[in-house]
Amino acid sequence: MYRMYKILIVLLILPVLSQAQNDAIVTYFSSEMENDLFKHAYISPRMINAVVKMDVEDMDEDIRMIVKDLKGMRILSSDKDGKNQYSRFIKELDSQPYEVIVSSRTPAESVKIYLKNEGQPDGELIMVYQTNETCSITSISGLLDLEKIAKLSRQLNIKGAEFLEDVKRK
Amino acid sequence: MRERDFNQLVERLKDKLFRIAFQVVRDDELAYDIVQEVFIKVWDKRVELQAIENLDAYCYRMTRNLSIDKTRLKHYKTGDLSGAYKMEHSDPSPQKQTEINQTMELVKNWIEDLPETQKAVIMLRDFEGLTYKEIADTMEMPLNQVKVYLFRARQVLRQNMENTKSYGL
Amino acid sequence: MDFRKIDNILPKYWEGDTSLNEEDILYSYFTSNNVHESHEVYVPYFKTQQSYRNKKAPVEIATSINEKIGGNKVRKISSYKKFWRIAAAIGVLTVGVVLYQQYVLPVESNSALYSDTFETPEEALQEIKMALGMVSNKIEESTIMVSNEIIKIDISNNVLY
Repeated sequence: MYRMYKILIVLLILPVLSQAQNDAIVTYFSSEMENDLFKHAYISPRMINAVVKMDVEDMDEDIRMIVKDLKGMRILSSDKDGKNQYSRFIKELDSQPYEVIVSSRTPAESVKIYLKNEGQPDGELIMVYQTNETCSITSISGLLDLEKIAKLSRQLNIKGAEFLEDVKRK
Repeated sequence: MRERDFNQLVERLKDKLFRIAFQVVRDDELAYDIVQEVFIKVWDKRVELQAIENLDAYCYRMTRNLSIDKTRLKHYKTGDLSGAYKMEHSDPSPQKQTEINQTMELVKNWIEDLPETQKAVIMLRDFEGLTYKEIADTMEMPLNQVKVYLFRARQVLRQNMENTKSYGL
Repeated sequence: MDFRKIDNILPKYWEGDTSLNEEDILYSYFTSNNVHESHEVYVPYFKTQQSYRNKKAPVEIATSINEKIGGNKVRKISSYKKFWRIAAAIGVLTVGVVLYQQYVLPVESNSALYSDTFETPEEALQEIKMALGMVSNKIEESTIMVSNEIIKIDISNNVLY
């Protein structure tokens, strides 16, 4: 009977072991998630499915192609003490096995983008961004195609477009 | 309530509830059963209890009420309170220690002789360290009433202690 | 020990007007071996409290409660037949859970951490667009900054905008 209990225990533990990995924010910055100083947003795989199924006119096809492979997104942001928060975030992430694909620091803003397992279902991209007092950390997980993402800024009507406007004028 | 929270609750309250129960039933085994029963009820009702403001006070009250019920049921009227105290000898002078021990025996008797409600209130406050609010919830009485009972009970003990000293033992 | 402090608290104590904090101070003082002569008369009361607090519930009570609340499922496994029935059920459940986790909900496990912030796909899409746009923008920016060649290409592609 004792052996059978052992089998039972293994069966019980299996689902726990096979659980999907947490994103970097949950893993390294869970205390910040409980801190009132930070705003927290999460988009679940279920919501991503719903986004993908939205009507065509609501969404660009390029966006849909990227979004359909995502598994979740989490954002943590604070509008106080940005510089210190930024340093803390990148200090922690620098010590983790992520590849740094963007690192830029100007007097106006700092940004660092980390990547893990690109092109694989368990990939994760983390962007830490700071300007003045605000600081945010964004984690996007799922199958990531960096090339497709890089092309996006030309299609999206956001700050990126302004930047490219400047480039045009040069 | 998750199992972990429940286990923490058990760890935090088991001794207090045990003493509160013992105080009423004067029987280790019965107190043990009561504490078990209280915790199992809490677990069974965990969903409804989520709305409860002060779970600790709820447990104290349930323990006390259950203990009173059991006492009525089993007619545990006269028990030996000495079982409620575990002696510790740490004082330097043996003579002084003996003196203190003798007065401690008197203190126990004085507490025993207090009216039932005063006794319960002073036990919950001075011996269990409950807040006034928790005592009010446990005893199901208004908060200012708690203070009145506590005041009266402490006055009796103080008087007795001061008299003992002045008259000698 | 500051005896005056005790002299301040003590009258309040007898009036039933002290906070738990103040009572803790009294308790520590009166159960210590350094009590002023004028206070000695009250020592037995606090020592009685101390000896009372030493009474603890039997240690096995927690385990016993635990067995009782979680015990139902354990006690039911009394025969081989029942055991294998449960084992099979767990097996099926495990496969189900694994499949569910791998293919349906890869990240969801903790309700507090994994509850959606946005109620509609439209709002979620807005946020995703913002985030992806930012990332994309920053990747582009850095690429441009690193390589003049790429700037040229971007400018030559201006027709697109």
